[in-house]
Amino acid sequence: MEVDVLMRLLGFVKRIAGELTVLVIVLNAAYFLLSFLHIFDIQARITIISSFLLILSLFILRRR
Amino acid sequence: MRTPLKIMLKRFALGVFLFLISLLPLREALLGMRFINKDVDFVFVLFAIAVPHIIRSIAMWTIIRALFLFFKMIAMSRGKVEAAIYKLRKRRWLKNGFYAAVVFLPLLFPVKGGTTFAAVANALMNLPYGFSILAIPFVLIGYMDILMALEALIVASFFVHIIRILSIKYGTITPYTKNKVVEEGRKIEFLLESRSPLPLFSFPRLPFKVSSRLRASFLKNRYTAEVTGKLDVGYYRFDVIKFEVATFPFFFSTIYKTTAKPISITVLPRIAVKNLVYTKNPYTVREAGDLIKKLTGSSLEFAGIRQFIPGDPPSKIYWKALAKGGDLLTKDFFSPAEDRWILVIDASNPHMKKEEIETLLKFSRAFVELFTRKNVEVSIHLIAPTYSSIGYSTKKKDLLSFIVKHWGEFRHISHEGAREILKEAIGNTEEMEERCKKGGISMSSFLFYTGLVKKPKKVFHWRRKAIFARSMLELTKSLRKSGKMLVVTPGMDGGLVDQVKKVARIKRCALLFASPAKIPNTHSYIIDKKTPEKSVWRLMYS
Repeated sequence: MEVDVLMRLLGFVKRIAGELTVLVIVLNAAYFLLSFLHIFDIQARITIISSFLLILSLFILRRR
Repeated sequence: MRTPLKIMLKRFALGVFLFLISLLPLREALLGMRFINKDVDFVFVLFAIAVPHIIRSIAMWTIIRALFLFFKMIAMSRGKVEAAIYKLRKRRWLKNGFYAAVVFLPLLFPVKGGTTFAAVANALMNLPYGFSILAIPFVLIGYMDILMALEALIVASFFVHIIRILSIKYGTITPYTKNKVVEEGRKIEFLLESRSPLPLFSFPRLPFKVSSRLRASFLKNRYTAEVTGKLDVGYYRFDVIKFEVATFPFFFSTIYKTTAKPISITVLPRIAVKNLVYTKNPYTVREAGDLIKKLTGSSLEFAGIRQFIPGDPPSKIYWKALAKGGDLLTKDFFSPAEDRWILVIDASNPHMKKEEIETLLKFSRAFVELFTRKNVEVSIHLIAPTYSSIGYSTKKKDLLSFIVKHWGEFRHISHEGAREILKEAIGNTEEMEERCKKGGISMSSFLFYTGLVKKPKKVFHWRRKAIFARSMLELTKSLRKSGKMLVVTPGMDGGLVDQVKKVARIKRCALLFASPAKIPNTHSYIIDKKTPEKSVWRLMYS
């Protein structure tokens, strides 16, 4: 019984650790994205983001 | 009357009522009350001024919705109306707009505060008693600016949310069942094996009362879930599985995913008096099947030898016995026709009670169990808005799962409506239609058996007489061979009895009725409500 509880606890810790790992990796990616956008002024940022969204929507529409 | 029209009328009445309330001098009544605290008083005055306007706008909104629903009901086809009522995916524009704003603000305005996590790590490093360990994670992200890291956290959680959704979209779920047919009260067990090329494959929200145990890989890109649970009598499918993905602060994206293999579980009704159906020792106790009367006729199954009666065909005479100097005897054979029973279950009454349904279900199960034991062929016909039948068979499992499967068939959604609803959830419905065909169930009942639609809203009603007449026509068409016809019903009036009698006469079937209530103009067996299986036993002596 105790071993069972321990295994469940370990499983839970493992799952949380896995989620945190993914979150940290993505956090780093997001941080670099933001520091990249930080270089430009607001107009350039709008241009970059909107052109990215445009390409994304075209890609999605084409797949449909 | 279509139920949505009722809903429309209710909404309209509510709107008018609210509008009338807003005309009352609410503002003056509220302004008569004042607070000592000035700030609270100010807020209260603002509230009092706004109240009539808020109520009025809600009233107008309710009325507009009622009108909109009214026009929809007039203009749209039945399928579309049903799809609108049983909407599985709700599009919430306000929520999505808010989420978009939350994500795009940091992207448009990335701000640096000037302080990095290195400073935090330094401060923590000076803590006494080994608390300096807390500094380690901050050393790792020491290069990050605090303000921008917080912004990045919001963007990152959005990305994680997207990863979760894509992980489900590109993943596969394969179910494995151990026992497909179980009795009520026993545990059901099955495995869900999930794999995805992306990490963070969420665990589904299973539709029925089942618990599950997970074994996931580190990045959660694959896991196996052992699902166990006790389910009520019925037929369950796990073909379309619902996921509710949530990542702080992005909540509840609903995704429907189809499993790679069809999975169905039948839970049979429990029979209380077991030894009526399963005799303990077939050698000491008379077996149930012995009691079923078999009439003699022209099949190849040998029944016995009896005295010759004038009129017996010469081919049946036991010539060998005569040659040995014995009497003139005749070889007897069982009749092929009398071995067959037609079980007609009447589920056409739209106001059938739950207890009645249970009684009929238990009776039917016991009937099939007992009669298939002695290889008696049984054919089942279900009188319901969607008429369904299974031909003569001696296979107990097929017959039993047919009953349970089709019991909930008489639901209130049309085929087109069911297809529209499913299309909205999973996109392409072709494979699911194929699975429905193979499983022998309709699309509308598929929605209930998978747990996608839980409560049937009675949008379109049926009339018993019309359904009954149509089912009788179907019964006449689908009955190829005659047999003893047993009609199991919660109760019937004389007109319906006459219709059944007519079919029985055309098809040359012996007719019996079994019901918890008295059936007019006919001899009927009363089904005991508490132990319906006992009534089957009595029926066998008939």
